[in-house]
Amino acid sequence: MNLRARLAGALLLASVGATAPAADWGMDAAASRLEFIATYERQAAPGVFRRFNTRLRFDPERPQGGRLHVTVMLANTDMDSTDINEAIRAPEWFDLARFQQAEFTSSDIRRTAPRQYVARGVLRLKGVNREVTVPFTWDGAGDTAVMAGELTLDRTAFGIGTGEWAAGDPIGLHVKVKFKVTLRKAG
Amino acid sequence: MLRNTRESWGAPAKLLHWTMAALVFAQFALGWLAASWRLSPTKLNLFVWHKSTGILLLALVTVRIVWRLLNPTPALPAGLPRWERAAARASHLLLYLLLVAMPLTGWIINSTANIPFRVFWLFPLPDITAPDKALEELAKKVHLGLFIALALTLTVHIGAALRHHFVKHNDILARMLPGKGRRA
Ligand code: HEM
Ligand code: HEM
Repeated sequence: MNLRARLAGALLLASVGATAPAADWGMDAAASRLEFIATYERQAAPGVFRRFNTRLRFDPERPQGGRLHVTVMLANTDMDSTDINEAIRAPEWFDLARFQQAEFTSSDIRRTAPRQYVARGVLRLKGVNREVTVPFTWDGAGDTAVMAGELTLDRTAFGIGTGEWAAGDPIGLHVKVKFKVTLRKAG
Repeated sequence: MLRNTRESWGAPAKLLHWTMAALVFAQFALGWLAASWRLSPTKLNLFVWHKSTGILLLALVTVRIVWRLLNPTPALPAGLPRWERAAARASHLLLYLLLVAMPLTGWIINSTANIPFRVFWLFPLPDITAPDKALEELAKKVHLGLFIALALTLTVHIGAALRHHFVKHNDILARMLPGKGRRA
């Protein structure tokens, strides 16, 4: 991170800190899971993102000032098959040689129902930025909270599966993403 | 006539022999094409065809072996030397073994590689092993080795059938052909 980014980050933290007493939450990686379900021949083909991180500034009572940042290390994607894990590294799929990481950033979190929220933000995946709405539930007790939810993405919106793979057959276009993240209050 | 006799093959035995012969040759082509095709939807589809045909062959060979055990087997012509009788017995036994072992090793590859697969796009094939990269590599080598053994045995088998027909002028080939009983 260069100096300007550092300064901007510090300023941002300071301004957020001044207006909202929202807590900072860090992820308990061992108790968190981010998975996806693709389809092959209309059968579920599940996978897990084994390395990802979530940082959250959030007050469940005042979600407006919240900020969510999720990073996913795509090299640690596991579809429980060495052959498939190898295949998805290719340029047609995740193109790991060029894009190692996916990122979701939201500073627009709203409550939709008791303990239910949506985070609207930008998902950056394979170099493509797309607006994405992530619904989640929030179960907090003291310094620990669990946020969980699922959403469906169209893989072609991010160029995942190009060329002949861009047709929905034999590998479907819709990919369900599910997460259950355990967070602990920082500090 | 459905059942075999000591003189002739019944229709089910002939039908099974020639259906499986055609499928085995198609299977060689499909296996080779699927394995060498570049990774693409076409490759995945070739594999579905190859694996499905292989599972079909496994079902057919099971029926065929049961039918073989429930029926008499036509006797070989009287004048045939001992070594030829022994060679015929041994090579037929070997063919049956290979026809069982080929699809089983294929099934092991599919299970260890943990690739989802529906037989003819209809129903999922259950896994017979857990995902296991080392076993997958071994099963691939065995599958290829068995294929070479099968190809060699079939060369001898077909050569022998043609030799009986064109060189020795006996009815061994004719009695396996469709529609003809034994005309001794
Ligand atoms: C009588 C039945 C079968 C025959 C004659 C046969 C023959 C072949 C041949 C000739 C090849 C290409 C050579 C090679 O790369 O190994 C092959 C490859 C393959 N077969 Fe089969 N096969 C049969 C059944 C099956 C079944 C039932 C399955 C799976 C359910 C299967 C799965 C495979 C796979 C995955 C490969 C690729 C192996 C690799 O990548 O090295 N086969 N088969
Ligand atoms: C993939 C191809 C083939 C397979 C797997 C195969 C397999 C077999 C097996 C297992 C038997 C033994 C039957 C028994 O005693 O129960 C047999 C018999 C026979 N096969 Fe094939 N065969 C194939 C192709 C051919 C071809 C192309 C020919 C002809 C050129 C042929 C001619 C014969 C004949 C004449 C018999 C009968 C032998 C007898 O009457 O004792 N086969 N075959």
